[in-house]
Amino acid sequence: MPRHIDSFKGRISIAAFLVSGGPCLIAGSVVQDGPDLVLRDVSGSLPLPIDPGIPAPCWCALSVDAEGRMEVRYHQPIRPSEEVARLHRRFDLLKRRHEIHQTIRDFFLKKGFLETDTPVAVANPGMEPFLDTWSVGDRWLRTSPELHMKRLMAAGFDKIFQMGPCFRKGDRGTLHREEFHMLEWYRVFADLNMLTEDLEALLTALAPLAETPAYFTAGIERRTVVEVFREYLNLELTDHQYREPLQKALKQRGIPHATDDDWDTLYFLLFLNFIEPHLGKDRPFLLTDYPASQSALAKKAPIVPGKLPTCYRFELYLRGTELANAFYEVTDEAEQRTRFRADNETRKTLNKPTYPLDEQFLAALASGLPPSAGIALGVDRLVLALLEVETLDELLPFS
Amino acid sequence: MIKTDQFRKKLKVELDGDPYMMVDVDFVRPGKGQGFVRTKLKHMITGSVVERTFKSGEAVKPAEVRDEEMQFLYENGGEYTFMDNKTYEQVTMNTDQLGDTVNYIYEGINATISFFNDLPIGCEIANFVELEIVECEPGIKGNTATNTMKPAVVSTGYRVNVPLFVNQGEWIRIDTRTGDYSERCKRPEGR
Repeated sequence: MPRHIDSFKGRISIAAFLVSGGPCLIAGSVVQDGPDLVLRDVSGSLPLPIDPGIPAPCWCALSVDAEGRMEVRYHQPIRPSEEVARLHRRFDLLKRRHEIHQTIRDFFLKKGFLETDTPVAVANPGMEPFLDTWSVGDRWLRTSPELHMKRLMAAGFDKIFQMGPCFRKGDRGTLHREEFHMLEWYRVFADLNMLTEDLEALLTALAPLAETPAYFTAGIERRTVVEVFREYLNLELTDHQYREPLQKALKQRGIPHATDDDWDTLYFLLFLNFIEPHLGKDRPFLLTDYPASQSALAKKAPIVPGKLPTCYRFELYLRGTELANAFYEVTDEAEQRTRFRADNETRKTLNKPTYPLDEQFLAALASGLPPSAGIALGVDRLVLALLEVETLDELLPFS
Repeated sequence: MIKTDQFRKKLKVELDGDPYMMVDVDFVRPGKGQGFVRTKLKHMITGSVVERTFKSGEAVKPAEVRDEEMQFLYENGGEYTFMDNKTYEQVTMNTDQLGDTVNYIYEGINATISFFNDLPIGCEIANFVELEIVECEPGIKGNTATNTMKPAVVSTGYRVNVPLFVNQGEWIRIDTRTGDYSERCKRPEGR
């Protein structure tokens, strides 16, 4: 008996399914009979019919010929269920999805980034007033790994990335899932330009896996918020408080809004209806210089009189879909504490739970975090864009 | 009032006093900001589609649309009169309101009339109707090919293409969703 079979024999006590001539299967186990390996039918009730209406995966099965040579054959499961068939229909799509994940990992490892993992259930979830999550015991499911990753940065990890699940309660839509796959990477002694270079190189690295590679290698177009409002709405944004020009623009275009809608709400109504669908049509698009009122954890830019106060934040758009959000990070502890408190105040007015301030994170900033930049990218949406699939429901295997 | 988290396709809502049906609903959260719900809405009278983006949590008024089973009675100068089978209440609709449906309705056909604020806004009939051919060239016997068609006029005045073997005076079934010939049939009982 060839040695490779001998070594395998112990594990062949499992049942093997073999094609037996026609469109039916027999089940049996491979056992040693003198010098030969033979198949013994152990089911006693075969053959079973296969429902030809249900597509099913092909598995590798072992068969053994008269000389004891092992042969690999393919067959289908005896009773493929609708659930197996549903997953199997997505086999190629899912395989490509996981190849994309692997390529992303390889990209960062080759660039000298360290892959990190941080807790998924955290004591202090993100403070952003509009993000909600679930509590698990005395912890919360994270909405992003950013606070933990910044703590690692403060401890000397200068180039780190992480890819894993994040949670946003209530976010359900064709491009939103309550649990989703997030990629975040951070660089110490870096600004948004370096992240843009990373992003461009990442998209180029992924291009061979894309339906339309040329789109991803075409380079990134960069425009500021002020520029796109001027281009698509002929509206000059000069401040982030005076609401009248925005109300007027909405009214002109027949978009209803409430009299007490704040500046940012009016901004988003205009942006979502008239600008976002156009961004990144022919090549990846970066929208930069966000209004200071939407700075979240980004540093604010120096104020220039007569100009829209901005912050160091950009977002990536591919074919009208928002994909990533980058900050030149707030590294000042006092500034961060003020913003957290303000977030909690906003949460109170929205009747949402308030969270204790993340003192360990604040202490990390206080210890002196150098200038840093970080970015969060929705991996599932990136896969959609690469594979040109329209909705997450069509892509993801489990709902 | 209906809040955004209950939005779904086919929901009937009232906006600016007009009835709309949702044909597309999607949640979107720009950045880490507040959520919005993007919708496509079809005007239930004119059929025009508009896009509206709502703030998450916002509420809109449901459109009070009721459906009644009615029977088509007669047409007079472009006005079509229907009668409620139970209450004998009558309503009149014009060709604009009926749209393509005018091509298929004959005296006595059952229709579902939708009302918004007691005004008739829509008329739905069965997916298939049987109508008599009143005008077409003589049929070519034995030519059963269904891919060669000739024009014909049915009793409602609607022009439809039929296969060569179909004759004047015969009855055919028409798909009211596409307006196309479906098959030849017998004269329905009582017509």
